Amino acid sequence: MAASSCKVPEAYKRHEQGQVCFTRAKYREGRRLRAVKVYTINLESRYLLVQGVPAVGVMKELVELFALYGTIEEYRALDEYPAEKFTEVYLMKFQKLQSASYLKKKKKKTSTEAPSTRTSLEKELGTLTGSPRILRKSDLYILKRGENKDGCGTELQHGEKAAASEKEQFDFPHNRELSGAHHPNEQEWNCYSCFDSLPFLPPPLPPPSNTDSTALRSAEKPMDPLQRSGSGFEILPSKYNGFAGISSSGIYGGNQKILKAPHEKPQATDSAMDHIRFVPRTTQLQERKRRKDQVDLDAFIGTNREDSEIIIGPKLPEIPKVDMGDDSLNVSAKLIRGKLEKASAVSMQKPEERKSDFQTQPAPKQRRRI
Amino acid sequence: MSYGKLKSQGLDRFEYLQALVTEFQDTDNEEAKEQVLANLANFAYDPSNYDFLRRLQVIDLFLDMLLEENENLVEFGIGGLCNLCLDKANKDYILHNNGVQLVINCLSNPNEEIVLSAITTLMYLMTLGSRAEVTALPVVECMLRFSLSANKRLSNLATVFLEDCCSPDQVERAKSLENHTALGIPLPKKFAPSKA
Repeated sequence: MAASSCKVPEAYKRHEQGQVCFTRAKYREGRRLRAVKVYTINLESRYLLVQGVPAVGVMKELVELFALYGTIEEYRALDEYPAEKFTEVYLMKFQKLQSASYLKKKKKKTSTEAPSTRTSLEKELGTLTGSPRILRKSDLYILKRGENKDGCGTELQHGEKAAASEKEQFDFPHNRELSGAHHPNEQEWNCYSCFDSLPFLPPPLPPPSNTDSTALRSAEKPMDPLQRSGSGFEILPSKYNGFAGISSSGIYGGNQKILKAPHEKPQATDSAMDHIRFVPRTTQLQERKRRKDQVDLDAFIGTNREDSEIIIGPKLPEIPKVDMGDDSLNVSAKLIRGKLEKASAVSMQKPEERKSDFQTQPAPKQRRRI
Repeated sequence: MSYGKLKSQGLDRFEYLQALVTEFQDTDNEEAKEQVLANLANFAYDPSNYDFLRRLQVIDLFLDMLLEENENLVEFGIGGLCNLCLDKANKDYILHNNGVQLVINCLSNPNEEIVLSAITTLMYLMTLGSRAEVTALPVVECMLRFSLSANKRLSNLATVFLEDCCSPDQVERAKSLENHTALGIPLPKKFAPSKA
């Protein structure tokens, strides 16, 4: 977790939030209040500093959340970093530059939900081997963006489909620009040559706004949706029950909710949030276990709680009555069928009872009956 | 950005940028100038604006800002240049307008951000034609000093400059020079060794 390159950074003045500007002319006013600042390529970094996270032990959740936006190479809590009371500071190193910058922007946008939490890109940690790489990457990125705009002349020359490259706007070009016709003189760009040998990172995923890729990325991480939904947000199934079966179209909305949950904690404005906060860990675990068992049971019986109403009637008679070719065998088959019917009828009623049981007493032992 | 708002009013990006440039030229309010310049510099981050910015001669505007006394204007100006100078057309334009000298002068600025942007800009401005100018002896010497700085950002960037843009021979020459002569360019205040 804490590795050599994740040193504790000093608190730099530029990590402080700049003074928001209130004196802008009307036509230049943005949707959000911002400081007067210029973002340059210099400021890009793979390190993300997350300050003002409420100290309620949400590191795991935070990392899981951020991992949705790109592979995190390293992360750690910075205990030594000067932080406000009851808050923590985390440092994450992303594999890709865009993940960090995207998250920085994104988190700034959502800052209304968590006024105390803010993210900033951390540059001091860039090791010597790290920073040229970062610079090179942003170079290529710009060249790429420029090329896309210039037209497909160079693209075609390299036998690439313009459309494809348009789509992969966030995809770094590989050696294309290095030898590119964009720069006729190779010597002029020989500063890149030393990086030819560097292994290029695997092609970065498209920006997180692409829902499919988000799904992919979350699938990369070894966490199943059930487990995720059980890690702190599960207590309000009515509100968050979309998690277990996130559809590819709904995943982004789901994320928004996840994003919200941990950061709303410090505000604790409504009672529902209080409810989330004070449910003991053991209860959460029991709840999770119960759900898991329920899912297993449903899968075993072959029914689904949600659509059980529809299935109860029509499904059972559908069992094909196979003629066993022997009277005594047919009698046995009929008997078994009858038993099966009976057993499933019982388990159909069960879920409701069980559900109501759970309101009062936690996690009774599950019994599987057939 | 408020650009979205304007779009709905039927103004396109070129007109918006034009409005920014006009305000910058007309206003006497220093604060408004800074704001507009910062806006323009941030627009320079997006290559899709390069064409508009060239047509509005924003590159000249950025270059002019390097001579301003107001440190913020210099910072935003060099930031804007840093953002747009990798583009070939922009680079040529800057090189033809004596931009390298102006940027080199920024190396002695006490503001850390200005120096960092200047180093990056110099690296981007490096072409066969500009090589001699960009890696002049005083610059290499200056980079050598920066590379010893306690400021990680500065030392990293300066080291990259030395490794990528300068030949070992040049570095050696600058080193030997360092041993014998007084140095021309002072370290920026913010990260003079005593403070860092």
